[in-house]
Amino acid sequence: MPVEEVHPPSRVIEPTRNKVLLEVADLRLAYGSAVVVDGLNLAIRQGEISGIVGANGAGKTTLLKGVSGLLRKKVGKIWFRGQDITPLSPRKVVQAGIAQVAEGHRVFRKMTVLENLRLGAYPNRTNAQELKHALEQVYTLFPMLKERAQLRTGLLSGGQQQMVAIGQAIMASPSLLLMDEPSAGLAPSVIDDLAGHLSDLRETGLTLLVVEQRTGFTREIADRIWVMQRGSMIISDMPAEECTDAKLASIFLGGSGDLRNLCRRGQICG
Amino acid sequence: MTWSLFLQTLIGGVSIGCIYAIAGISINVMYRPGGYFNFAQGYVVLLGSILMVVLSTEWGWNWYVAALAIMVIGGALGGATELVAIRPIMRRRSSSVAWVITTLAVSLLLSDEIGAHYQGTSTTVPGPPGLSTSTFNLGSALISPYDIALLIFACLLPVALWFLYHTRHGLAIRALAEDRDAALLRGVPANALTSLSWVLGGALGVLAGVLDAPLSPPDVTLGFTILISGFLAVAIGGLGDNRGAIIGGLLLGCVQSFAAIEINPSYQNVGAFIVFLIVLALRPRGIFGARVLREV
Repeated sequence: MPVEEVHPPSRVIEPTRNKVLLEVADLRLAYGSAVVVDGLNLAIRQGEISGIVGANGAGKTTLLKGVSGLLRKKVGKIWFRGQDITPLSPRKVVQAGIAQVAEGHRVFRKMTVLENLRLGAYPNRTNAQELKHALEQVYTLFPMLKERAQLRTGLLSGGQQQMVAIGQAIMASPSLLLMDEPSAGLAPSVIDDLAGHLSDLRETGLTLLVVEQRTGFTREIADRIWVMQRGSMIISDMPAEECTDAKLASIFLGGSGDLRNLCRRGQICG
Repeated sequence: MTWSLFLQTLIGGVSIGCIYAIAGISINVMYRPGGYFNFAQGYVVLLGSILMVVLSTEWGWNWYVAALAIMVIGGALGGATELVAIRPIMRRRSSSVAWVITTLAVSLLLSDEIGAHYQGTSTTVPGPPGLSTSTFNLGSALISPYDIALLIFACLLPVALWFLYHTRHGLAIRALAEDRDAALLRGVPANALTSLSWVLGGALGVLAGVLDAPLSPPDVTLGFTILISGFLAVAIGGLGDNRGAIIGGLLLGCVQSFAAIEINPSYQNVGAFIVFLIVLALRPRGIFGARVLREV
């Protein structure tokens, strides 16, 4: 069924959905003939941290690429604050209020920390005063970045680069922050710090959509959890506290088994 | 070799080296946002030289006005090249290297058009007002105010570009050069900034030709040689590094001059290639090329 019939572009958002910031309907994304996301539905509420967990190849990163506009060819609809952002370019998506921290804290390693942060504000055409204010906000969250502002980013540790990546994204003053496996490659102590930082970000009113393989980390930070398998959601909008390892094991292993087996196979981690 | 001949050869080498350096910088500017070389750039430089002869000598335009007009034409040519020879290919398949063929096609087109419409000249363009090409004695050698101004300009060009690459749009171009997808996620308009870089590269390319016009008459057969010299300057200095293009260009110019004087004029390119091979053997990414960091 054509997606437009399900959600006409001129629809009025129901009052109960006013809190929904991002809504994805019947999304289909493909690389050539390989369909990676198929018939996916998602609704992210404002002010919450939503976590999407799934195994390797479930289509989590592809979903974020679809939302952020990196993947332009798509079927289905994506609404952000009631606006249809499906056909928008990455630049327009950022200007609409969605920023993304890509997998592997992809910062610009040859640039200084300050240059990375300045680049984050690029689409907003900020004046010097606004830029200074945005920088101060980032430095309040990550004081370490102020001390290392003139240092080349490639010289920082993985955890510090992750802070730069998050700082760079929030320099665009987004309403929604997409994070692709933020804990990947980080030491356990750094992951704990990261969880604290993400909670701090939520306190500022920012909505977060975090895509992860680590179920434990996702449970710790998220208010609601979505489970993705083979390109679509198999669990939607579950309160994080209900998303136990036993429940995930029953989903992924068919009723019995140990979640650690999936972890050993590099699928998902507890 | 006498001291005065040494100095004279050095001055000649530095002057032509400045032209190579500016041509190399124009190649760098175009290369930076997307990683594409413009194989037509040799003929773009030559076009600048020829247009300077036509506008300044034949039509009698003021030197500076002519230079500015030629830079506008060069910028338009650079932008058009990006639009027809790069963007359609990259839109279809970003991993394609078909841009090598399309920019070579632009090169052939320019070569044919220049060959068909320009008859050649044996005279050089006079220097700009206030910067004569008439020489004066510097110790035992002869040098002109134009030679000095050319060297100062060539050395200041990377400084100006350094400031440009630290502006808002400049940062975005550097981001594109480092990680295109990550830059797109930051809202960087890749197409617009790539076009802008090609416009600037085209303007700088013809400027190299404009500045060469008072040194030597344009030769329609030299387009490909200029391209190779520009590439060598860039490769010796380090791809994408404008300081490197200056060092590479000056080194190349001097080696060619000394090889021509000391050995034989036909050996000047052999000397240049020997230096190129030595530099690459010692520093495979060029003098200022980024060192490969090994993870330990």
